[in-house]
Amino acid sequence: MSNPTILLVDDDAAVIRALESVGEWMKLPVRAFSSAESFLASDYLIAEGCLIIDIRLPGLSGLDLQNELRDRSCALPVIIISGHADVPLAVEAMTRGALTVLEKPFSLDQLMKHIRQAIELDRTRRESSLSRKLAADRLARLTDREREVVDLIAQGLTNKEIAAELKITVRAIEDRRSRLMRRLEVGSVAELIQTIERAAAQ
Amino acid sequence: MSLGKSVGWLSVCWTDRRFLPLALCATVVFLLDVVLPLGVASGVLHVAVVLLALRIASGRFVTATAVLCSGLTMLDMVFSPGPGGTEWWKVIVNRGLSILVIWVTAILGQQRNRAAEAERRHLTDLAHLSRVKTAECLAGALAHELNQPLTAIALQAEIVWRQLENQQLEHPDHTNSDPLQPALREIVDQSHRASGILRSLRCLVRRTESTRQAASVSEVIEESLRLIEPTAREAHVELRWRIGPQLPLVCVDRIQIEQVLLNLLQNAIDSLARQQPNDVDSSSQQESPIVEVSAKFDQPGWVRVTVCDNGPGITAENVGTVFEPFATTKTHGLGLGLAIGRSILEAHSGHLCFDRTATKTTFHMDLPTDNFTVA
Repeated sequence: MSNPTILLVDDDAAVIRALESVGEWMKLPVRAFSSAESFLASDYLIAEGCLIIDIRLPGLSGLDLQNELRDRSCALPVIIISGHADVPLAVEAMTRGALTVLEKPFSLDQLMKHIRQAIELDRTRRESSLSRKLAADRLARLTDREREVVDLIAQGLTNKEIAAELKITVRAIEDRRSRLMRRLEVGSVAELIQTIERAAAQ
Repeated sequence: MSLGKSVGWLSVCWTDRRFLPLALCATVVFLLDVVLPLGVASGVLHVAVVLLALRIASGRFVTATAVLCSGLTMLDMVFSPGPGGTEWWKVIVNRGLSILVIWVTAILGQQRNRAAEAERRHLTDLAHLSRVKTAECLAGALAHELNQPLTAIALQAEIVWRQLENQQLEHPDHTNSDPLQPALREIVDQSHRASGILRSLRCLVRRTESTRQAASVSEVIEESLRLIEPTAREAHVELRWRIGPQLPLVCVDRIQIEQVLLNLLQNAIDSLARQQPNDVDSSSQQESPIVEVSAKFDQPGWVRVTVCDNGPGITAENVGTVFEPFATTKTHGLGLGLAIGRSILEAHSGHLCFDRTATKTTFHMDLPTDNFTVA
């Protein structure tokens, strides 16, 4: 898995160089873009890490870029930086999904804290989406009959009740149950339910 | 108001120093009136005194003059051969006409003065707003432009400072980096201080309150056209307007919106005026310079006011920077007009945008019609 990257969209060369120094200090690679358009044209939309956007850009503004990213379902956590963050603008950026709005000039600690948080958020988001995919794949392996049993277990029914429901013997249910537990690679009912929940998440 | 009170404030005017020349003129007319036979309507000359009063001041001052002139006109009758003369009816009619003319002149003159005063105040408001908005825009642009290098300075200095700190932790015996650290700390602190000053400057300028109320779009356009009309005439630019029927009310700061519109009109006229000298020879083929203003209400919730000119237009390289502060092609001016216009429109939840064709440059001002909740 590749390293998380600090992606930066800012049109000021000095700010870009400063952020590159920050990246070096944090031992994270930095990739800078001078406009929203050039970022959108790149293949960094699916990169790992976080995205720092200056609100004032030539062409598409930072807020426009946020909209565009949402439309393209880019999941990168966004930090907005602004030369003058007035309240309405900050509110607007936050409602469009920005993690935070930092007013220039910000302190190094402040910036690093938010970069770390953003990268952490990106990582957990990716992990949860990965585990969701895994859980969904596993559930897809089950046959329809097994799936039926899984659903009833999830509803909290005992083997006996399931047997009564499906009109088959308790013995057959037990067989089916141990088979599907193996297939789903889970050791307990609790884990089984977790798998179902993960797959169903969002 | 009681009679005593009115006499009171009239006498205040009469003791005014500025009243002296008026009183003198009135006396001259009165003496003339006495000398001439009563049948001559010489009392009408009092109108000159009233007109003079209108030039000097307004309000009760003019009323006081009119009262004085009417009094003198009546007083003249004392020197007449006395009631019962054969010409007596002529004298009465004559005096009555004089008094009527005095008062009509006074009232109409006052109305004109009041209108002129309102117009002057309006222009002052516009000029004031223009100055305030320019300062606001300047402060904003300055804050933005200076905050970029300040950010870079503060961050770079802070990183070096941290690096030194780390080095010291690793090699506690090396103490030669000591003097650098406070210096770097100082650089960081002072950059933050500088940006703090910028911020407070912005806050200071930003304190302009805007008063929004319901306004008719067509009235705003008509007012702006009236104000720009002399400029257009001077530049030999034809103004045309086409205002759609049944425009809704909008909730705006009227002066601000008028200023944006005036700025668009002024830009259009300037661009046409600049082009003219070169096109004297080919004027037969060239279209005559025209600025057209129109207003439409064909999209629900939005009124669109459009200013269109057939001037040389915006060059391709300038298209990206039209709304940027300090971007200008004029020899005079700061290049803030359109930047201010856009910020005013955005504060009204509207938009300011433009499009251009080979022969036309068009600016659109979109105002929402449903922002009455702000009021």
